Amino acid sequence: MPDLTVEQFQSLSQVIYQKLGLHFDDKKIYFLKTRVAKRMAALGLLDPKEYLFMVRYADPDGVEMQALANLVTTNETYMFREYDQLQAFANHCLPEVLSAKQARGEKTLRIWSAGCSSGEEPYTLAMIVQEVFPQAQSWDCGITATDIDENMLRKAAAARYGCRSVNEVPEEYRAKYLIEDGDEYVVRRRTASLVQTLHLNLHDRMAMRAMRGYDFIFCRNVLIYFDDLSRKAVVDHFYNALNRGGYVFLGHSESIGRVTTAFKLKRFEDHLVYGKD
Amino acid sequence: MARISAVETKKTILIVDDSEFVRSYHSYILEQAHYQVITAVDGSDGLEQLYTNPCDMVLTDINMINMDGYEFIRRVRADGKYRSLPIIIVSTESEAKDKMKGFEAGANLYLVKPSSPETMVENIRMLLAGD
Amino acid sequence: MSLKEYAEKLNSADEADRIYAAEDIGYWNTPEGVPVLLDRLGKEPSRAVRDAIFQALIRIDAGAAIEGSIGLLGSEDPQIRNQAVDVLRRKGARSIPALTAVMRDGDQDMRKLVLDILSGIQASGAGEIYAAALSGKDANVAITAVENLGRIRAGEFRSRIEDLLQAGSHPMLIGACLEALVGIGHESSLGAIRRCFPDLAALPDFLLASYLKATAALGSAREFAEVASLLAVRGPHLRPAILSALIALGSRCPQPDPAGNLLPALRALVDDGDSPLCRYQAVRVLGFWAARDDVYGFLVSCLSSTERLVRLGAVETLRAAEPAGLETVLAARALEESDEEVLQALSC
Repeated sequence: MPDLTVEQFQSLSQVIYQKLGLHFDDKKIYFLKTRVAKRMAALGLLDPKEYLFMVRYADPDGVEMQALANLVTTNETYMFREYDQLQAFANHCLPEVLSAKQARGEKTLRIWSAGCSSGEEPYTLAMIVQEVFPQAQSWDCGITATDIDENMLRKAAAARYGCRSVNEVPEEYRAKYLIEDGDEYVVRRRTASLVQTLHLNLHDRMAMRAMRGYDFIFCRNVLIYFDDLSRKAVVDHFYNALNRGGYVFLGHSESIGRVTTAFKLKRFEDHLVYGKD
Repeated sequence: MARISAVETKKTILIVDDSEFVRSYHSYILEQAHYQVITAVDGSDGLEQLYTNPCDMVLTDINMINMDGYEFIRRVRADGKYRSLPIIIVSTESEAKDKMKGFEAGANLYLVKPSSPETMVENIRMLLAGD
Repeated sequence: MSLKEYAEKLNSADEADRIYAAEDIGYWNTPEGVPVLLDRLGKEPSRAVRDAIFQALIRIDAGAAIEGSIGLLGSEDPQIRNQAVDVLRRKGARSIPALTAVMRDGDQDMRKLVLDILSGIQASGAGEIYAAALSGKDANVAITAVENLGRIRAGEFRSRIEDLLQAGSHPMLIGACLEALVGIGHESSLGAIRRCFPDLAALPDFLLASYLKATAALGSAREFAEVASLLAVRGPHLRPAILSALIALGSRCPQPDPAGNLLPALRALVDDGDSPLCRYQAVRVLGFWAARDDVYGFLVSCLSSTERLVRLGAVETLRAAEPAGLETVLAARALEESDEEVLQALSC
């Protein structure tokens, strides 16, 4: 395996951070080394210096960055993925938005799960909303779950999952929000009804413009796979889609600050979140 | 694994600059002067670093893509918690009007790059002592 | 919609409408869109809309987008200046002719921005700009030029950069030259470097770090002992740079001489080092003496360290040394190991 020096690792982390918005700290040196080794083997490169040069100067369309992105991220989806971030949502952002709406006499809550895949995320959000905000039933609450893949959307609409998907669901939530059916779990209708699926291609700018009036947008572990310009275009649409006072959540190690400075950074205890003023 | 208290009293300085070399160069100057250093690649990254790690001072460049130094300083100052955080601008721009802009945005000091290490450290010490 | 209609929408009171208008003008991709966008930019208060305008300038292929962006380099507003830098970088080599003109006619700040733009461009045709940058009086312009040249591996500027390594140059420029030589230096560059720094002990930290990188890239076994001796005398913050250099230099020696206190010092760093990364590096350096029983024994004990980077370093180092019976040792460790990555390394 080609040896990645500490400096090369740090330089490469910078490039990845700037181009994909993904953050790799020192602990990840071996992880990155093995992935880069795979890419170098595929490209026939022997020296990491060559790889570094290539991603900096010879990858104008971001094709190599995409190939690397596919290796450094896991595509698996399951409920309550990236729990820390969900805590920030549940404990701080959601209560804050709800209070502000109550003060204004508004009774709607709109959440967009962009790139929802087979639906684990939107149902997770539905559970959290009902847990944090039991009055959700008397409000006009909706979670729009969009994806480009019709098969995935069908799975999401079915709201039926195997053990792997529900492994991280906290015990208390399982009984409350899921029904065991053999070796599968079905989301209870009361909760599932908060979620509507919708076919949407994030690259389709006209369709994206129709998405307005959301209080929260979740787009986790999706934008990494987009090139620079497309990613920026999507995030610009998120900005317009979001209500003032709303929040946008990308993946835990993705930083929206890399893509745009239109959102404001806020801190709640240990969590950093981005919102629209 | 006890560490001597001298380490605990080290001040932490955040360096915000889009040049890898400049970050490294200034980091070594500050570490030789017994400061702890955190770095950020632009204003946006700088805000994230600041919110994640307690810092005693910020050194920031002005010309950076994504979020420039003035916008960074404005956002830092807009947060009540950081109203008196010492901020030094370290920039290539040398005109008096640029310095005025820096102070208006909320910086405490303006150093022109490339600054001598002695000047940099002296100014930092002075500003931190004034705290 | 016609351009006139887009222009109207670009002046809408609604921020979202203005963002969409800018986006549409970008996708329309005609040179006529450029003046419309620039006109709005001058009076646009919203950051998000300004961003959308710059995105549109990136999408418009015509030369007008380049010319327009060049015009923005002199703006009083740093967001505008710097986003213009971003646009011009993305235009790549096509920007170079216009940049050459700015280099000739622009003021000091504009010339610096030219070099900032070039830091994202690796193409021929900028030689004139670089030559001017290196012979000019402005240290910042020279420093950025040198940084770029090292990274884009412009070997044709090597001797010019070596020439800049002299007493009269600003220390920051000297540092930049050392870093550049990491990328484009030759063995012969070492001579130029040593002439500049005959006495390592006198070298301040901020130059030593760059010196070490250059030595790591260009040096050989000869430099190992001198670099190793620094470990005991320089500050802890320099350890990563020293260890990196030792890893690089040691790989070019059959077996470097562990003079003085080096081995105990390295063991101490593995046990107590300032950071996991530093401890990892120290393990890697010890690997050069893995054939010695005492070192081998220590490396095997590292397989059970509480710090996972130390365990990883030990696996990598032992594999590189290929001692007899290694597979058995690693297999035994695999039974106790719970970390996924370390397990992966153990079972390769």
